[in-house]
Amino acid sequence: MSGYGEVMVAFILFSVIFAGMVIMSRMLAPKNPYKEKLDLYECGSPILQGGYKMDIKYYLLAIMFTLFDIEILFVVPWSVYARGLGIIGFIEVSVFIILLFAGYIYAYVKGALKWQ
Amino acid sequence: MSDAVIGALIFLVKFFLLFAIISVFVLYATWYERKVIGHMQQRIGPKRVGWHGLLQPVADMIKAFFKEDSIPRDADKLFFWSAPVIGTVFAMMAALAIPFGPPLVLFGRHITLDVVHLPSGILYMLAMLSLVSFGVIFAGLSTKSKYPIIGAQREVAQVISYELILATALLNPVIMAGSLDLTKIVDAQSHLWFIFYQPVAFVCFLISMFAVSARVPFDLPEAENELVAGFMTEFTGMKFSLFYFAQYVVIFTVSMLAVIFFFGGWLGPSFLPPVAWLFIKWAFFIFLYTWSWGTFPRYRYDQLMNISWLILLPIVIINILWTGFAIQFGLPYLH
Amino acid sequence: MSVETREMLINMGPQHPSTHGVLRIILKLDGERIAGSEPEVGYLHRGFEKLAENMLYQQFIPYTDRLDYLASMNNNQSYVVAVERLLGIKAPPRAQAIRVIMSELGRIASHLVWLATHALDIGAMTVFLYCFREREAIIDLFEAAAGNRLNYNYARIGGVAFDLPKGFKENLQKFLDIFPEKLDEYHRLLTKNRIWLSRTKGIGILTKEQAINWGTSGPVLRGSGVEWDIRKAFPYDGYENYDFDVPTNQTGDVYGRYLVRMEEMRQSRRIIQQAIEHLPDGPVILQDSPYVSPSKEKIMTENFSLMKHMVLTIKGMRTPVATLYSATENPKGELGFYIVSDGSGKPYKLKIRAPSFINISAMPTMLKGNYVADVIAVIGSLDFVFGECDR
Repeated sequence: MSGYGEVMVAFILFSVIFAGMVIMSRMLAPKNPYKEKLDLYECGSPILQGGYKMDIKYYLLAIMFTLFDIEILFVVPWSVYARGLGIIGFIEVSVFIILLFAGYIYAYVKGALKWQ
Repeated sequence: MSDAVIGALIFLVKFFLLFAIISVFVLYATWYERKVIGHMQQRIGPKRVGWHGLLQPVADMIKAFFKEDSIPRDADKLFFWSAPVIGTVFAMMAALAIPFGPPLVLFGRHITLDVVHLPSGILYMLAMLSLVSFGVIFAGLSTKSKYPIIGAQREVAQVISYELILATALLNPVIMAGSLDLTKIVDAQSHLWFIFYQPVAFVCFLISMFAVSARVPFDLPEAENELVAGFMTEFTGMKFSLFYFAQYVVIFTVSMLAVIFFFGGWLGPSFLPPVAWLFIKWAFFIFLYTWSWGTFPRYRYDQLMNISWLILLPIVIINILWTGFAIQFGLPYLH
Repeated sequence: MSVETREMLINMGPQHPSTHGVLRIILKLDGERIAGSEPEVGYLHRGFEKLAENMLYQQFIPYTDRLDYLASMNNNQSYVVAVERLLGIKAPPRAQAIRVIMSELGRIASHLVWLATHALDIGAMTVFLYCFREREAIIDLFEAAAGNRLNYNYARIGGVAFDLPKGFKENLQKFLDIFPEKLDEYHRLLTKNRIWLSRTKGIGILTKEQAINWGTSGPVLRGSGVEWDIRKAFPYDGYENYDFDVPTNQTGDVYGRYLVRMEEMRQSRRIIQQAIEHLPDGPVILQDSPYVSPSKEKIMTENFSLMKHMVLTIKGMRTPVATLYSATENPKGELGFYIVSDGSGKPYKLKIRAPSFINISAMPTMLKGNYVADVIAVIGSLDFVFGECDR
């Protein structure tokens, strides 16, 4: 089996084991549901109806994360062959990182990174 | 027997061995933490069940099995059920690629001491570690309850911010070893551990390691004093235990990563077997988790994000450039 | 195009790990930021003020224990001082000194619980257990003196119930000797801790004017830079004879209040040290006063004393017809008793000014614009007890 085939088998095995644990406890445990128990936890008070407002920061954060994660993805191949690629490779990757870093500084100046 | 069958058998043996090791670790990590933190706080910790409370984790596990499993009326059943399973499965998947020692040659067969041996092991592990947070997200959103939603929201932001740092910090040893294979990374440290070359990367890794596994001082997704139990608020019994299980497996895995990438893995004087060295170094990180739990208060959410984006990210990126530069010009601190 | 958004409404409490009892806050959240908050009290209301109208003055003393149950000694003292002022009597010097020792010990114990829970809320778990270790020593002292560990019922109108037991002074001195070290230990764990600083500095700011306008008192007021302490302003039980400072902090944030309380513990220790060094001799309760029952021995042997005791327990004392407000400095702030007396043995009306209740009312001001996580930091720094707030 190749490595990734084994990973797939392991995934199935783990899923079966852990789902089995949950199902087994479901069968073993007592069941006595009533209205109050099935209510959502709201610190013992009646549930307050209200909207849900999410900070726009989370979207900015997601964008920034995608940006930097892709950067890392591009750096990974270079980092494996860093010695072999020599000075040229290093300069290329530096230019790439510095360009992204300029973007980072722009985002910083714009205040996209500050949580205040 | 054919070669493939033997290979499959070896895989199964390794798989269940890993499962057993991690299960025992998770069970006894709870005992160990309660004991250590108890003594730090001038208490004695568990003492009743078994000798010095050694059977306490077993009792806890049995309790988890027989505890009523209540599902809120408004919850999304499918996601509510799958959330704890997903988290645990992916945490265990990440642990599959940990090499516990140098490859063995047994009865003429070449056996690696990781359950699956992948040429790009570290990328696989990082991917699996990211997927663990899906369990948390499902848990938070499926219940439609307010505290879990806030907890899940925190977890998402925290995990994506810190996995970036974690991955970037690990690139430095990768550059130096020139490989993504965990075994080769350990071999590359045979003359000197990477911690001495890469102290900055190590510190960044250490901080993000605590954040990724959501432990004090970064335990915000489940900050019990603010969010009751965070994303786990609506979970009971076995499902609740599985979230803890997943968390401890992540701790296990990232501690192993720290040892493999910065502390020379299983390398050590030969009077102890390599596996012993690996676990001795790893135990130090486990202790570090408990120690910080007993010492630090908790960061606030925005502060946590600021640490990641404003301090650590520039440092690790500049560190990568510096490592690349040093490697090209063979600076004295590199061989 | 406009998108209508509504803030998330969320209940914090009454069943929440860090609302210190049964406070309920309705938070209006904008993301994780607080757009508005509304504290709701009353979950622990037991009607003490009404109960007081139906019982003799001396019968109400045990009820005061149940006000701020973390500083019962201080409540006892506060109440008996109020009644003594109504009657125009004063406890003998030894009783006064004992009350001072007890109430300052009570202040330390109360502040230790505050520090413990405040630190636990912010996530520092170890401080919690360290503080309870020291509090245990104080509780042991209280137990030796009063026989109880939480509700002491120790002060009496005109003195205290019993004299100090044998060995009390030595044990107290032992505690006083080790306490500064322990206090330094807490300081080492928290005061310069980066995480602690970032969690408490600049959070929950209450300016000087706001603090005065909201009528806050105690460490909350002093943390906003107002030097106001009833012990200095209207001394009772001989506080004017002790040399101590009133710590203040100008910042008005959570950290300022933290520093004030930490320093208050040191000052309390100073007061106790002075009190046991100059502990006067003599009776611990007024002798031959029309308001105080005679000693057990006299009740058993003298006819007049027996009659007096019977009248005092059945009919109560004859009080002057008067209205009076008397306040003392409780660990939480100004604990006041407003007594309307119609001359009988029972108060016509007794109103308790609970410092926790008034300090809580300033909370929405402090919370606005902060994060969810800051709510618990602010709650911790206000240090309220619901037995007192809801009465």
